[in-house]
Amino acid sequence: MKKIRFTINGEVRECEVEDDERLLDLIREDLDLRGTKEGCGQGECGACTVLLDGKPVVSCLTLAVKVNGREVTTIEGVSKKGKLHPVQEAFIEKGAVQCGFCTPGMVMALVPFLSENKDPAREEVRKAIEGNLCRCTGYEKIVDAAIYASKKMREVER
Amino acid sequence: MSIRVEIPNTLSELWELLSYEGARIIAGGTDLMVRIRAKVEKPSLLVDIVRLPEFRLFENREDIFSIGATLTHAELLKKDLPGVLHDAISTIGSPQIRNMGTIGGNICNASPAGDSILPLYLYDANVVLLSKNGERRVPIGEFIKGPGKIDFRKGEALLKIVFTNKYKDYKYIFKKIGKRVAMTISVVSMGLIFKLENDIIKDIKIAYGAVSPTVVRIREAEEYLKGKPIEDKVLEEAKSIIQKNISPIDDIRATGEYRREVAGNLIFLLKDAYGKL
Repeated sequence: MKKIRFTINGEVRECEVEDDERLLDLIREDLDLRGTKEGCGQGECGACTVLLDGKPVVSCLTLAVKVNGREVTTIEGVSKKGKLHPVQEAFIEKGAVQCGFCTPGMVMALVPFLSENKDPAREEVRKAIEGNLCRCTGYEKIVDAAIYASKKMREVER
Repeated sequence: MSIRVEIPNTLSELWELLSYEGARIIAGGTDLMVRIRAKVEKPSLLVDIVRLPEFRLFENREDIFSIGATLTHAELLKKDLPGVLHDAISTIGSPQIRNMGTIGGNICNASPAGDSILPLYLYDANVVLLSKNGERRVPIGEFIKGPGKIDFRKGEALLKIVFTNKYKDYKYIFKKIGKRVAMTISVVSMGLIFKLENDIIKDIKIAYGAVSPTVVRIREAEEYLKGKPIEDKVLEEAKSIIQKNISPIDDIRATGEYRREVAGNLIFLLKDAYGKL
């Protein structure tokens, strides 16, 4: 067992974790944050995507001990004061959610991408979510939502 | 099944941990974690080296590159790398995988399909291994001995990769053929750097991935092409030389026959590139 101290969704937490525990299990089982999903468990599908120091990583291949002293953001941490993130709003408004299993991972891949790329082309959005599989194959609406979200985010900044 | 995991903060901690039986270095974990979960690898101790600053240095001084082993693919894509290396790294995995995986990890996995490895063969890169006894420098082609096999000695860690870019004015091509564009392992990959003078190939270096037990340079084809124009009948001959110098196998991704045909055809990309010069 190892003791780790890290920030999750803005809150500092101290946890005891197994040496070889995955970040995914720390998030879902120990911290009971069930928004992050386990798909393939091999880093191929992106369903377990979270942000580590602001960058998307797959939590199924990340050891929990690695996040000691660092900052983790999960899907539960992207809304602020009960208000959904523009990416989340865009997914709802554009019907980019079918079964919903890939949605948290898609959102977590898009949030940092859209904060760096204010006016992306569709092709750039596709590249940003190349590590996320949608088994309903609803990619077109997901790309629509990302483009729409970028518009919303530009308006908020103005 | 619990595996002990340690994250050293100093080199002296690292040397002590590496002296234990069954110790295995982990960096990004994008390959090793999958293999551990599949029980293909059963290390008793994982030593995570990503917090050691010595392994994270990047230098490009007068075209002598020194690339720290635990720099991630995403970090390297923001550096001023030779184009063929930049393009090869950009084809690796997905944004998530590129934020985690490291160039040193890609090399130490020693996959014949390792995308960042291929350009390093073109530049005759050396890897620098560090142990408590000092540094050891080995050409990449000698360090990688076969699929998953490297010249690693007990107590060593891959510190950095060094090479000189003597070919700054060369054009390059990198092409990866996979089952899809993202998150895919190369079925065949080809990288080349070349220089033309008066429409004649003055110099060329050619490397292939996923068609032999390791990445390979096709020196016979390089020699053949030097001094020749980029024409169909020249490229046909180069294709047959390339096909003679590779030993592709059948696996879940493709047949050996397919790989051999595609590998040979890829040299015709020279013609496309030439048309755009």
